[in-house]
Amino acid sequence: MSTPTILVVDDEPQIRRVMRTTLSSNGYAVIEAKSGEEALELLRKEHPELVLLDVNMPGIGGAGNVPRDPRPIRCCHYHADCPQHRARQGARSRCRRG
Amino acid sequence: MKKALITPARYTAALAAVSLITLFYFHSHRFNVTTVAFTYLLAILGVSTIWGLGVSIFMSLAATLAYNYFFLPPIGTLTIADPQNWVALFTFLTTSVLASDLATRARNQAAEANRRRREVERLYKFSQRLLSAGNPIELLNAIPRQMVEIFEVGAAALFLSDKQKIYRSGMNLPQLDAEFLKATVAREDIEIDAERSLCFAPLRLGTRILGSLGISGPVLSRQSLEALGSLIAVAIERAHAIEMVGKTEAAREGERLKSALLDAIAHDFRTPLTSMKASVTSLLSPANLDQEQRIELLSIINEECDRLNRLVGEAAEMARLEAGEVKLQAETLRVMDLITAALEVCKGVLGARPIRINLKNPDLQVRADAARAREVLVHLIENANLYSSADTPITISAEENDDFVIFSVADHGPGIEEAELGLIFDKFYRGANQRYRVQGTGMGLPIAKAIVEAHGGTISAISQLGQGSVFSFSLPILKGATAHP
Repeated sequence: MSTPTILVVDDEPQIRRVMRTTLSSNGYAVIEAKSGEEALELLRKEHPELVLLDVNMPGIGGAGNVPRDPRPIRCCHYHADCPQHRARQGARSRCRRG
Repeated sequence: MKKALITPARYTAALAAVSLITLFYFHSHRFNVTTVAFTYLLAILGVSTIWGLGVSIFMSLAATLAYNYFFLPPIGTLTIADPQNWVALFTFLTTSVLASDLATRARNQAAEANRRRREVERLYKFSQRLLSAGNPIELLNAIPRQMVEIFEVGAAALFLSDKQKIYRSGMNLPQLDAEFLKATVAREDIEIDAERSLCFAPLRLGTRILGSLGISGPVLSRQSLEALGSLIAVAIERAHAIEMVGKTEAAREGERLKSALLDAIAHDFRTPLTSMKASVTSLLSPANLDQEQRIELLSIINEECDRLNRLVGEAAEMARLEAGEVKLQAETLRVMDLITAALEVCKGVLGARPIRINLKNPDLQVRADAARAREVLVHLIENANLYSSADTPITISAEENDDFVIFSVADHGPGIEEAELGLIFDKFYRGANQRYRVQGTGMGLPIAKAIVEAHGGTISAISQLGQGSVFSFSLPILKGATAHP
């Protein structure tokens, strides 16, 4: 089984850096996008197993603008501004199976 | 002194007039006594109109004696033979005194009317000046000065009960001391001391007494003093009311800013905190981090600490600038030195980016606080650096325009949308694309604006989408420093 890929979508570069480092240390391949538009563009080429999507972003992003993709992808929303408690709760409640 | 000389001169002149008439008619025998009497009367009327009652009564008596002695028989004596002539003499005296009195009254009334008119004119002028004064402090200092200037008095003093403070102008006279001014407030009435040329009036606003007014010099009429007292009281009350409205408005604006600040701080502070928390959590977890990953997470924490530190610094500076607590230390600076110093600060972030300096007059100077002016340039250069790709040049120019030097920093970035241009200098404004920034606090431009405005200059931006943006600001030149302190 090949390494699972996770797409991180966040406009804050430092948050992307933390996620990339942490996730790759856990054995995931990480691809990054800094906006919803960029994420959609990447999804055409790559096939990540999971998308981690910042709720609060300019342009496409957030809970109301989940990239609709016909392929089965797990997408998880989180809120980078939130303290970790709210982020975790928010992420869980908004997790959906594609 | 002058008056002491004028009065005897007038009496002498009146006597001379009587003598001349007497001499003229005594030597020409062609005129009868009635003509002589009328001539005297005419001269007396003239004198009373010009010089008043005292001189004319003296002249009447002199003329009566001369008339009796030289013209009423027996001539050469002060006795009168014919009883008819007694009547004539008595009638002459009565008529001349009565006519003198009437003429003097008319003269006094005219003078009084004239004086009143002048006082009203001065009161009007005074009220106009009071209306134009800005804040209460300016007004209180202006009142005594304007009284001395407009009413041509020697000195004026204004006492305010609530502040227990005296504002003065003109000569510093001991007569206008606090004791007298306070006594006027307690007495609640006007006092005119004509002997010492002093007037005191309460500042009356309805039933309230705000303070008192003391004037030394030409005595003003009671009516004028009353009007002055009310006028000043109304002006002070009006200035206080305007100040109150301003304070309320400022307080409301302050509240609005505070909540905007909290929102902005919440976002700006949480983002680095989130990165730090996530990094620390990973470092503490039993995950298999290699050395490189550990260093990466630690350097994120390190950078985010710096970012938070800068944020706190800028927020504090913005607050100080807003509160007007920043004292500018204006000095004459060479524009070239200012630009060089700013570029020196930005050297690290600019890297190999081409920088063009466009300065026609290399000796151009400005009057500004060196550190703050440099800060504005640094903000604009860093901004241009952030929003344009690294290989495009940044152009810095400065040129003279009237009393100001206009600085501009131009980049070849994507440009700013028209609607956004007017908002970018607002505190905590977040543009549609602003959050793509690599680093930055969003407070750079508002801080630059506050600094430029504290110097009496302006800041603005023009932009063309796809072409780039030009940020310009003005700082006063040396010669304009007094016009824009």
